[in-house]
Amino acid sequence: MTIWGLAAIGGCSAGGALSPTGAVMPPAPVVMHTAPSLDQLIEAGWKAAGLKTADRADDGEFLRRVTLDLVGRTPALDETKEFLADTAPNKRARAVDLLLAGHEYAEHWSDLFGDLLFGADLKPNISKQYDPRAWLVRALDTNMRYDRLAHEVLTATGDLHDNGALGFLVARGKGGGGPEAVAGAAARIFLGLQIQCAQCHDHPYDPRWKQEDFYGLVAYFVRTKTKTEKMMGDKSLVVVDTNKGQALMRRPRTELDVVVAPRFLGYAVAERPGETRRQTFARATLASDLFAKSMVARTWAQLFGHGIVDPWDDLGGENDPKHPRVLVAVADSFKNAGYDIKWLLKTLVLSTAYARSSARRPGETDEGNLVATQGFARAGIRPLSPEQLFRSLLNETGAATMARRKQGEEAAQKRLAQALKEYVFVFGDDEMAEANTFDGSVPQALLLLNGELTNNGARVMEEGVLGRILASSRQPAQRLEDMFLAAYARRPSPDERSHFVGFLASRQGARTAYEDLYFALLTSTEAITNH
Amino acid sequence: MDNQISRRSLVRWGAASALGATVFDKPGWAADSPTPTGAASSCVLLYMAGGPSHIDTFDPKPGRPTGGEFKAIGTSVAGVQICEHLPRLAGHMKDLAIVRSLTSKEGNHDRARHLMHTGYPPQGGVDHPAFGSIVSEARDTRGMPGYVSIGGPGEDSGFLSAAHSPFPVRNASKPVRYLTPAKGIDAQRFDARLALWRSLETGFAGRRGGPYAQAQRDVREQAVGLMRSTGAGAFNLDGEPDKVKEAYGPSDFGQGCLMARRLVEASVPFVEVTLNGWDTHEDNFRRVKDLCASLDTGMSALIDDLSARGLLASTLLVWMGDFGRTPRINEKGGRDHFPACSSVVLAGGGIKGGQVVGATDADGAGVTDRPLTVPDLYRTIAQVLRINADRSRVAPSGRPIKTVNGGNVITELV
Repeated sequence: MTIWGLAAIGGCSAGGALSPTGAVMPPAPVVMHTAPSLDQLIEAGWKAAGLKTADRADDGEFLRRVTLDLVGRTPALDETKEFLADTAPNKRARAVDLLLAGHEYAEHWSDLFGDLLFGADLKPNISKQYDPRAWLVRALDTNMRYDRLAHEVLTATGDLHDNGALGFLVARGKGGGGPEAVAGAAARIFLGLQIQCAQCHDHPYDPRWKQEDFYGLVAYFVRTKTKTEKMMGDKSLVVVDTNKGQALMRRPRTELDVVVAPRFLGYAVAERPGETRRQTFARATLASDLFAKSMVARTWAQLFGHGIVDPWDDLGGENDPKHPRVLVAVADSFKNAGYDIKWLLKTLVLSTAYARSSARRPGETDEGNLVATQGFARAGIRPLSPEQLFRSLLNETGAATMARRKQGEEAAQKRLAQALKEYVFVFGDDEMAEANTFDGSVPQALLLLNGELTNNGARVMEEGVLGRILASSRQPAQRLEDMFLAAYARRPSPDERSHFVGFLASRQGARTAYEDLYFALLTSTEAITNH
Repeated sequence: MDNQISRRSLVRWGAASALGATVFDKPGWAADSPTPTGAASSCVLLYMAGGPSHIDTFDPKPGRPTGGEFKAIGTSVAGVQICEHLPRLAGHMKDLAIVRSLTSKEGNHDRARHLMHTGYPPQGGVDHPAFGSIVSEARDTRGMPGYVSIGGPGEDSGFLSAAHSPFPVRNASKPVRYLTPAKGIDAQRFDARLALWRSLETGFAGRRGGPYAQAQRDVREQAVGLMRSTGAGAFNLDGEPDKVKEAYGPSDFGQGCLMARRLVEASVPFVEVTLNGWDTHEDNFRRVKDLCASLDTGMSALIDDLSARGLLASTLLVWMGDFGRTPRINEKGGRDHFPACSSVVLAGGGIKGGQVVGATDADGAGVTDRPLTVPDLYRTIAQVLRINADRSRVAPSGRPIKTVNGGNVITELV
């Protein structure tokens, strides 16, 4: 994969750190005076790389993308109409504030943080006792600062029932593979390092990491013990830090275990009196420049579909120097903004790079488009996560309301949970895909073509979206426009308008003609991707 | 998650980009290469995920401390012994060729499974296609997927089109869903929807889509082709008589072998059936005994069934896994990863059965005779399947990549 675009941006001379917001931690969301200098860095990078930049995305394109990215679904028909009609110059920033203020933001980002912290495949092991996602949802709802979130996750003790922050330790350690798995995950998530590859031998590709370095990190987690306690018949899991336990390393092809003392990426960190080993690790982690960088790199990758450092969890090594300026600048500003997660999201989605259109430039080759996308000068096209796709389809069809009306609240909930499970199963990467991508694309196509959600959702029903669209106007052209707005967050082009109005006329405006067209809209690539 | 998605989307970008599939020559033989003359039209790969112990399956070491708990038993071929827990396969030894001298350097699961599926060790810059994807590309499959993977992920199509990625069947005992239109949608409406969808896709491809939209469209058309194919019923075992189902054994693997036979009959050229659970770092002997029971029943039923239907000569069977396992039995009664020695078993497709190729030392700790590599194996498989091993494709990075990376045909087998 060529990365010249990043290299060129890295070599640009513009700007240093983004202007910091000052010593006082600003309230969230933050004033946006940092954004222009991020934009200057990006624009200088485009110029230096000679990239042809795509136009600014129009309002519908922006709203659809930012709604998917911040709250995990496409905008509803009414939201789109309202946004398109709004003439305020700062309406994009206002829309972002509104999205970040809602509970859906916490729900969606707890999915992303949850998969990261607990691991998608580890979910079942812990959810039987307690779902730590509830803790994450609360943390995101109250906009817990990222440094505090990390500190809580890394140092949590006590009963899993009372403290969801323990989910990380329990899922990774107990459900996964002991202190080695916890140390590996902590280094990846909070430092952006893939040092766990050095567990069995020196890192095969990254000469910086020796096996001792990995076990030096493991040593921070070996004194943490879990025990099961029975309280009034209820089993609960309690985590405590003790002063016993050693990290034991075995070199390849030897039979002897060697005790390794705690070392943080090759350095001894002095333990403070009364500090547990995990607390020392958390302190060293939060003091590392990799802490903010890894969060920025990961969030960037989540919002843009590919990383400013790619992959985001390979920082500091050979991948890092390709794009240091933007990464360092945003990471510094994130730190200065008090590790405010909503500030980071807002800064990135209001940047000039995020606002690029995904439209092809006339006459541009596929390769040229790809190169522009890699340099963030054009938005890419990304598949939706199973949850994003499912929630979007619910939104575009009204299937949830229809199910409730037809079956009652309880039955509908059960049915929807079942349907979501199927989407996660068919569209998600399952545990078998750990090594590999499970490319189930034909089964995905079959589910969309012949599954219940898309087929029932495209029917004209009183409570459904298509039913409401048909009820609100008798004009085929108006109905068509609303169908496009509901499915795509845009109006049909003149060509599409005449083609599809013609189609509806050819079927005498029959109900089934609308259903067939809406089905085609809902299942088309434009509707099932983020672009 | 973000990482996975970007990885997945990159695969697809690469898959259909102008630098990828579209500049390949049409399937066929390169002019400068002799046409291979194999007998097989299909291949069933029985993949032992996790890495099967060679010593506890097809390369027993009775009487040695490394030999473990299992006894060796004689087979239908004089002088050839295999593990006591594979009695039915022992009876089929005349059909089987055991290679005991496969050796590699890849002792990590991910890297080994890539090597064993593609013939190449993983390397940056080139996303190698699974061999099943290469076979899929070379065959006309009449609407059926060219590469089906049952019970495991298989390996993706790398820089080939996503159309040649494995079609996954998670559990052969459950029919694959959504192969027929939804309730109330007759053929006329299904076609009308398809026509509307196609015109929307054309518009999207023009405005933004490019190769990504094209790949989505290809996959959807492939799904429609599958719905319409006469072979789609092969994905449902309900029609099989109970007696046949029972012959394959109750395990998912056994039922997967039965579906593999149905798929071979329905013109699918490459079917992979995974038997999971061979990563026996602990409690090796109890676990391997159970695994052998599923393997022994499923694989011998498949050989019998193919043979009875006259399909064994045109169907190549390959049994292999990530790697062999250590001769040393660890303190947890397990065996660890051991790529220096692995066994591979081949049958059908004109393979000369009833023989053992290569040998390991008395402890199964090193190859002593006829060391063979994964490219040797794939060059042989390619010849049997009439795939041109020397065909060169230009990967998206611009590098020419041969179907098989060097190696020599294992002449004893063909």
